Amino acid sequence: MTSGAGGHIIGTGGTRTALGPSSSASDPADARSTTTQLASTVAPGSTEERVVDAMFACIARWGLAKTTVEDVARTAGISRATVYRLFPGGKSSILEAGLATEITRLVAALSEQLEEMDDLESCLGRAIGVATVFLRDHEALAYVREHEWSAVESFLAHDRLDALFLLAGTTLGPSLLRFLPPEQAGRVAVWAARMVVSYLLSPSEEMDLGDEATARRVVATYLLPGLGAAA
Amino acid sequence: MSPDAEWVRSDVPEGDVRERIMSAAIRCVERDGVRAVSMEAVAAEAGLSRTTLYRHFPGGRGQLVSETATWEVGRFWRRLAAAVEDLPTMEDRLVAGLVIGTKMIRRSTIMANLLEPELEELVSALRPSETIVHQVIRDYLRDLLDVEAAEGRLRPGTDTHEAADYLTRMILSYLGSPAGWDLTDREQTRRLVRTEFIAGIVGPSS
Repeated sequence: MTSGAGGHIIGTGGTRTALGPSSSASDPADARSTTTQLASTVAPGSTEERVVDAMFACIARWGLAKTTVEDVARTAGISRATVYRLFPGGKSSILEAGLATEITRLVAALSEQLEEMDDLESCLGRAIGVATVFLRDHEALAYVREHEWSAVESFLAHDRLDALFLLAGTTLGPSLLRFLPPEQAGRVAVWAARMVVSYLLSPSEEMDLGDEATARRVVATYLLPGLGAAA
Repeated sequence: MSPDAEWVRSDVPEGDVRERIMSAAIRCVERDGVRAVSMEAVAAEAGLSRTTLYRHFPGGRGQLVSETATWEVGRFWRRLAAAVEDLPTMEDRLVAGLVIGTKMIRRSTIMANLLEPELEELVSALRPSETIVHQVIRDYLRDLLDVEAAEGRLRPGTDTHEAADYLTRMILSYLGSPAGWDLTDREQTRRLVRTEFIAGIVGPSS
């Protein structure tokens, strides 16, 4: 989203503000500075992690709009003051950290599985399939998708979706280095994230990317032929 | 899909009061934000009476905002289709569509300085049209792909319906979130289109 209209205006679902060129980097995989817009992930076992998990539990129960920092503090079993000390930005900064954390957790779980796979097509098929099912079954996300759609989209405004894609690129990319040079690995990982988000936000009646075989076929049909051409 | 000449002209035809009202509503949003849109403000901007506004939008402000948003989305895509219509290949059309679309998005001032609640109101208004936008673009691309297929320019066995859906998703995804690609740069965009959009679709003729 920008001094230009965002994706809302053109009906793309995800929005962005046009803040001028989002990145001057000529190589998309190097445009990592954008990820700094997203809060960093929280450390496992930390109090921050308790806050983030409590936030998701609250959203799954009451929705995003009705969830207050107070609710989150109570659910996490800590004081409101502590929550604000850890997340001065309140709800939206907890949510940003939470999203980044969930993606990092998902990719970490995936990376282990991907190590055992022998080719790019299987790796991407597994990654897309698992991510699709994970996000579809995510209770907090399911609640807002069902009942608070505009909150999802306005949250994704202000280039947050760009940041999430780039985060997917930097975290999933390394798992693909066995098959691709670094620049391509990052780009392909972002492509996979785009597919997952597109089908999550605009489900298809004909295609279920949660099915690994289907995901592999999409990879083989539309992505792999272009990789040779780029090399 | 021949472009409607009126979309290419910068001004709305005098005769169409409805469009005159919606254009005025857009100017109001651009200048003062969504919240400031009222039947009074838009009537004044359009140089029409409130009564005339209510005759065209009996549902009042809510209907006006919602229909104007949908109309503006349609206008964006019609302009884009018109801009790429005469280009010779799928690749050229996609490249030009992404570059021009990105520039049109940047130039529009509607999103500038929108507060979150305003954004939510617009998003809610547009929610029902998103599925339609997806379908319209997909059908448009499918028609183009069917022509390409008939002329032997697609990979053998290409399912044009599925391929059109794939391209639609890529276009919407990249226009909404370029994630590091500079889509105002024609060469960079061409590289993107070749590698991620059409490599599996447009191919060595059978």
